Amino acid sequence: MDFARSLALTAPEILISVSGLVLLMVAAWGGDKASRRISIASVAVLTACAFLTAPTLWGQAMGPDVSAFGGQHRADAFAAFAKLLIYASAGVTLIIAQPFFDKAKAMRAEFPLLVLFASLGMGMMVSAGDLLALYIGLELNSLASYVLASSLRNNERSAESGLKYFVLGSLASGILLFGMSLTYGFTGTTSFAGINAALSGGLPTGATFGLIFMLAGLAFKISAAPFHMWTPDVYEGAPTPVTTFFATASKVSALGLLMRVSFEAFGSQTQAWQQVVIFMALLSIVIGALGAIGQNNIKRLMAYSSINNVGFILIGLATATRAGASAMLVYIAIYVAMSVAGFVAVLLLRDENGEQVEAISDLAGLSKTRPWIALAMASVMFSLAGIPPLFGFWGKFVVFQAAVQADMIALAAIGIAASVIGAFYYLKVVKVMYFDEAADVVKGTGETSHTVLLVLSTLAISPLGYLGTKCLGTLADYATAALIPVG
Amino acid sequence: MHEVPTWVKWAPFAVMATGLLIAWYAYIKNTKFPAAFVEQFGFLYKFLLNKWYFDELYHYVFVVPAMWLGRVFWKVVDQGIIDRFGPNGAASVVALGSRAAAKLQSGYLYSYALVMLVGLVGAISWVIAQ
Repeated sequence: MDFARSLALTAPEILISVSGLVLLMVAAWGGDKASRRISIASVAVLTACAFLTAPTLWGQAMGPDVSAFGGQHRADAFAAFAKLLIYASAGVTLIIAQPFFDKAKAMRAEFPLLVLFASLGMGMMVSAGDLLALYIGLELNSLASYVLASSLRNNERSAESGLKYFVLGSLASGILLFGMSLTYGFTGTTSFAGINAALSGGLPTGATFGLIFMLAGLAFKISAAPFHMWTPDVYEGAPTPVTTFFATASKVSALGLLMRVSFEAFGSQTQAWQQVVIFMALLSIVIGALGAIGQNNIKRLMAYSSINNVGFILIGLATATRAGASAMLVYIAIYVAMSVAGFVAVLLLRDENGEQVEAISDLAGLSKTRPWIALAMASVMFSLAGIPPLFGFWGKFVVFQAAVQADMIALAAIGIAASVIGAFYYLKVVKVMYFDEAADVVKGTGETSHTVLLVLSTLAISPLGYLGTKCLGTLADYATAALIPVG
Repeated sequence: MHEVPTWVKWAPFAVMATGLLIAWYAYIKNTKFPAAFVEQFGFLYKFLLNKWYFDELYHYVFVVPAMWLGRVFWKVVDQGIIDRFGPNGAASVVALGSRAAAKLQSGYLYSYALVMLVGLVGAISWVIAQ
């Protein structure tokens, strides 16, 4: 494994780093006036990275041939699947952020750069083959995210959300680091493969502590209950494009990392983490559903909905089977499309002064005043609730199918029962939009780019999405094959 | 076919004829007779007037228990048990849970951190206890 090969395998990361540094110079000289050009350049960089990554997924890359720098970095099909979702989400974030911040007159040249560096960190997270690579990727992503959350500097809620995210994120990082040092102490290695080999004989109590602490630290990132408390506040306070970024790219990367740690580092001790994952999955589903009831802020509602959906995704992990892992990836991909559609629809809601409308009660009668936005929003809600004609159903279906195949019928049954509670608040939004007296608050017109993204993402979660199930399933299977080798 | 004794065939006629005779006597010949009969045999008269008390018998033997049973199934089983632990109970548990979740979501960092740490300790205790 020579150095040139390692560099070739990390090409997307190198491209983002180098162009990020160059654009940083542009930002330093050009100032905030250059922000639009930097955004466009960043989207171009992300697109280029996606093209660099795609062949890895199509080529079903796996095994020792694709591990770079002595196993620190893995450029396999699994990483590629996650990276494509991350780059797409980051690109969407940049596209919707520009008009949003322009309207608020708060566009800064560093915003696209922070998104770029956060994506770099996320790419490293899902490619990590070693605890240290994991931690560096995670922190690179987190530090950029803390700043992104508070990027509307004059807005009190945005600043508050950034601070909350930072303090609790530091606590989670501390827990994660503690778990990593315990794991290292009891196994004598930081590489995932080494940990797996060292634990194949049995799990010492100390390593169990390490495992649980690491799971807790990662659960914070995916906002799984009981480590979800930051989510509603941060999702509500952060600027909506940033919330979109957190709900899509951040989730994908942290879930990818969680899968890597669970299957690659602790793959020989599945029983140890299965219990904890089941616990977190059920708690997330229930808390996500219960917390959302009574919320009047649509972004807060989406935050609870994300907690709820993470619970369903974790059911796939709880099975600890290939089918479960593949189902998780399918669900994550669909969830990204649903989140993009949901948040872009929220972005289009502006009152006559051009301020964002976030109260659900203000959406009353939206079907009469803005029928297309209402239709898109209703599709998102039905899809999140997993009601059959929409694509969200497919994600839930594959996850529950994997759970039933793994003989976890009780888990699947509780999950399905709790999703009924969730349906209540999704349907409430639809009811307010379609059956209540028009509040006539939503006045403003949206940007063309927002409308285009909304149409695309709504089409993806509409019944048309089922045309892509075969392709999506195949790609998820390629990715899973790289994560959990046969035999 | 149906072989019945001849007296059975004649019996309805005899009863009819007796009735006719009594009716003719009581309502045409001696119109005071019914009042006298009622005075003499009050009990028998009431018994016949109330159709052998069959309605009352039915009421107490069938209707009242059926009503009671129905009320038990309606008030106790349906409303008290099925509704309470079924739809209404589930709804109130959900409402209670959502209030509790809202209460926990106080907006203060220390309570968020506390929940995280409690969750961590809970998870560890659970796995170690296994």
